Amino acid sequence: MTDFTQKFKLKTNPFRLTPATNPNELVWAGFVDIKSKFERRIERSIRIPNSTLVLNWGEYGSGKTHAARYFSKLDVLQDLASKADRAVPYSFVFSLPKGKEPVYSVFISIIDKLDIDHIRASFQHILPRLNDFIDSITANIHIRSVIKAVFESSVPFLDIKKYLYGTMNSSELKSLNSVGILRLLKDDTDYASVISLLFSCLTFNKEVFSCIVVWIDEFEDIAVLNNTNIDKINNFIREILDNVPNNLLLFLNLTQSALISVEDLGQYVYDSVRSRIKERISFDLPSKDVLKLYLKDLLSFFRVGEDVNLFFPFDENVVDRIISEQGNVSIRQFNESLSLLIELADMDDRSPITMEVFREYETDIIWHKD
Amino acid sequence: MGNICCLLDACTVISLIYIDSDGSLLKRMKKVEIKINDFVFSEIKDNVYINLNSQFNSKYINRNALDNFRKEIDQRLTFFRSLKNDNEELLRDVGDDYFDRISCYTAYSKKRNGELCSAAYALYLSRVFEKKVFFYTEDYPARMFFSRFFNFQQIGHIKDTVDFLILLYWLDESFSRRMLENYLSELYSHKILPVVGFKQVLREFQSTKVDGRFARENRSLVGNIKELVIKLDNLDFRSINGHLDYFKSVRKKHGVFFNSIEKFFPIFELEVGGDSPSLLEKITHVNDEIKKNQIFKWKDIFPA
Repeated sequence: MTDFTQKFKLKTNPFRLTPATNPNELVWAGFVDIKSKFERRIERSIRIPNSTLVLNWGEYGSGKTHAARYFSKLDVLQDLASKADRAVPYSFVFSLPKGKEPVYSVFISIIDKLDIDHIRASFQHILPRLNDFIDSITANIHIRSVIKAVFESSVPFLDIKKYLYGTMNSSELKSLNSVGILRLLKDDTDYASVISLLFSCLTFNKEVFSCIVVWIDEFEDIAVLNNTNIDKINNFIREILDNVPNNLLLFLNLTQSALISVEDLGQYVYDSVRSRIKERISFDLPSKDVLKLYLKDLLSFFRVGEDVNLFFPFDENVVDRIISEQGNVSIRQFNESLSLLIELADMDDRSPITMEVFREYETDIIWHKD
Repeated sequence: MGNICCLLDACTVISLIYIDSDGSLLKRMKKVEIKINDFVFSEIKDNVYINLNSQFNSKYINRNALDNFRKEIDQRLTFFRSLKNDNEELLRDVGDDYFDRISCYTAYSKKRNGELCSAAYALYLSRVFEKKVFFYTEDYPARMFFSRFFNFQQIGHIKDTVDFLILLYWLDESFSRRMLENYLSELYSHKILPVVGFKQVLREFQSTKVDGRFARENRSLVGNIKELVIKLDNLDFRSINGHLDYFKSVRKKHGVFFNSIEKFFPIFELEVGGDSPSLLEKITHVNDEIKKNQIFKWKDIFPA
C-alpha cells in the first residue's frame, strides 16, 4: 500500500483524472440528472430509427468532454444496449477541426477510429443482404464500391485503409480496380458521401450496431473559423443528417465563452442545421448539494477500506468552506482546488484535512471566484 | 493614389498572404503604391510559415493541400519581395547610424526590429520623396509608441490591416462588399486561431504539470498562467505584455514551457491600452458596421 493510500484511504488522487482518457479511470460521479438525460437520449436512439441532433452546452470545465468520453465507453454503451435488448451503438468522439480543411479532418478522424477487421468479422454473416442494401441506398457507383470494399474481407485490409487515408498512389490504386474503385476520394462531397453510407451500413437493420453516436467536441470553435469553413461545416452536418436519416445520434458540445453563447449560435449554424436540433442538454454550474454528492460519489470510487466520514480525507466543514469560498464554479475548478489541497497535504503529511490544514493552504487553492 | 504611399509591416503582410484564398487580393494591391522595408521582409520570411501547422491541423494533415499552400505562399512572397527596399542603399544615403538615430530620437527601448526600421523608412520616404506615408501594422503596442512620431513629424498615419482592406475596397469598383466581409472573416479567423491554440497549450500545462509541488515552488508562474488564460478567454488583451515579460524573465528556469509558448508570441502584439478596441474587436465591429452603413466608392458620391 502506497503512502498516499495509507494517508488518505484512496487508490490515487481522484481529482487529477478529469477528464480522464483511460477508459478504466473514467467514472461518472454524482450529477445524476445529467447522466440520466444522456442515458435516456442514447437509449432512445438505440431503440428507435430516427436520426437526432442534440446540443450540449455549458461553461468551460462543466463536464461535456467527460460525458462524451464516458458515454463512448464500450461497457457503458453495452449496458444501455442490453437494457433496450438491442445491439451496441458505435461511437465516435472528435473535436471540431480548426484547420483549413475541416471536412477532410473529420473524415480522417473517423477513419482513424474505424476498426475494419472487427467490422468485417461482425458483418460477414449478412454481407449479401448488406450489399443489396448498399445498391439500393445510393446511385453513386464509386461510393458503393468503396463501402463494399470496406466490408469485403477479400480486399486487403491495408489497401482499403491506405485508400481511405488518400495515401495510395495511382499505380497502387490498380489493386482496387477489380472491385470497381477507379479513382481516389477527392473532395468534401466524396468524404461526406463515404461517411454517410458507412454510417447507414454499420447500423443496417440495427443488427450489428443499433446506432452511430457521434460527439463533436469543442463545437464553439466554429466561431473562430472563416466564412468558407463555417459553410463547409454546416454543409457537412446537413449532408450527413440528410443522407443518414436513420440511426444517427449527433451531439454537439458547445462551451459558452466570450466568443460564443447559445444565443450567438444562429450566426454560425445555419437554419438548415439549427432546425434539426431536437434537444438541448445544459451543463449548469453545480449547486452546493450537487457538488457534495459528486464528491462523496467520486471518493467512494477510489476508496480503499472504509471511513465513517464519507468525505474523508476532507472534513465536511472544509468541503463546505471551499464551496462557499469559490462561489459558483465549474466542476473542473472544484476538482483543481481539491487536487491541489490533497497534494499539498500529502507533501506535508497532513491527514485528515481539517479546517486548520485547509487554512494553511487556502491562498494556494482558492484563486478564481468569477 | 498620387503621393500617398502604403508601408506594410510584417504582421500585415503575413495576414494578407494567409487571407488571400484565391490570390485576387494581391492583384487589387496594384492600385496603390506599396513599400516594405528590407528588415521587415526578413521578418516576413522568418515567420510566414509558422502558421502553416495551425492552418493544417498537424494530426490530420493533407499533404497535397499543404504542399500547394506552401507553393502559394512562395509565389506571394515573390510579389512582396518586389516591393521591398534595400537598406544598404538607404543607409548609404542617410548614414550607417540612421536607424540608431531614429531609435534614440524616439527613445525606442527595444532592439532593432521591423517597426523601428519602418518608422525610420517612413520618415525617409516622407522627406526624400515628399510622400504621405500610411504605415499598416497589427502591432498595437508599436502603433501606440510610434503614433506621436508620425504625427509630430507629419509623416502620415499608422493604421492596421482592417484599414488597408477598406482602402483596397473603396479604390476598386470590382471589390464587392461581400468580398470585404469574407476577407474580414478570414482575417478574424487568422488572428484568433493562435489565441485559441495558445489558450489550449496553457490549459494543457495547467492540467498536466501543475500539481501541489509545482504550484508551491512556482507560485508566480502558476498565477501568471492563470491570469493570462482568463484574459485570453475573455479576449481581454489589456496589459498582456506584462505576462510576456514575466515568461521571458523565467525562461532559464522553465525552458521547456517557454519553448512551447514561443510560437504564440505574436499574440502579444494584440495588446491594447485602456478602453481601445483590440484588432479582433475592430474586425467584428467593422464587419457589423459595413452591413448597416455604406462605404462610398468614387461613383457613389455622384447622383445616380
